[in-house]
Amino acid sequence: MKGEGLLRASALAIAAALLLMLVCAVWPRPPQLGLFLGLGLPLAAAGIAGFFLYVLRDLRKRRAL
Amino acid sequence: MPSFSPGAIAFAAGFIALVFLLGAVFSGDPADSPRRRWMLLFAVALVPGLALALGFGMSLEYMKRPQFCGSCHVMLPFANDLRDPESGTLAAVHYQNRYILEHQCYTCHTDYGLFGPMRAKLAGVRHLVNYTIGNYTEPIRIREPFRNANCLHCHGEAKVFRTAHTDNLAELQSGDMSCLDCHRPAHPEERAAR
Repeated sequence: MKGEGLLRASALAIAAALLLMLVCAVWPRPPQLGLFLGLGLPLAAAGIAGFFLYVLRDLRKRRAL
Repeated sequence: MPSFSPGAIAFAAGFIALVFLLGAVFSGDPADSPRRRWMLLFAVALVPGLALALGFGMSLEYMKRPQFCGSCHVMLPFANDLRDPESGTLAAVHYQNRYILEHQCYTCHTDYGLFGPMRAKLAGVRHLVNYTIGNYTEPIRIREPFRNANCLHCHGEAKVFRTAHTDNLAELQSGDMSCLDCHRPAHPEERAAR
């Protein structure tokens, strides 16, 4: 399906954020938490925004059909 | 009921969310099937969002612990001072006499009021990011003068405090006089510029 690239990119961004969170949960030290909060959460926000863009595009495409 | 550490709960939630996410996105389900759409909504947005919120909560919980503050090398002298039996700093006196039972650094360095805890948490996140990317100079400095309100939150209504500070109570409450003018040092002074 066309547009799956956006979905996959969003999923990978959220997966990266979750991975950083897992690292934090195992080693809750300043550099790890700094990476999670400073990089992981913005990545997740971008990923979720990308997912909603994917949903909007999909809805628009269905309406056009 | 067994109690789990915040890290264990966040790890379990994050692991489940990650497996669910990768499974749903990279599964071989037909892209247009309604089942997959619902799966995607849960696996990409809802479950990871919940797990990340738990992870954020875990991070804030860890950031309140003095052990965590002491794990940055720039904070080590302050953390060591807390436990130094020879130290007479305000922080050591409060810590060693158990005047504050837990989250000792956070308790004194959080402004009270509606937005105080939120400001403290945002400041903590800023510190963490700056520490991680090396954006700091030593010796570290407190960003703004320490507020009397943080001391008065606990001491302000105490009888012993009010009796001992009858002459300057108004100045202390207005902030014209700092608690630290008389009760210093709060931390080892050679490391902390006020």
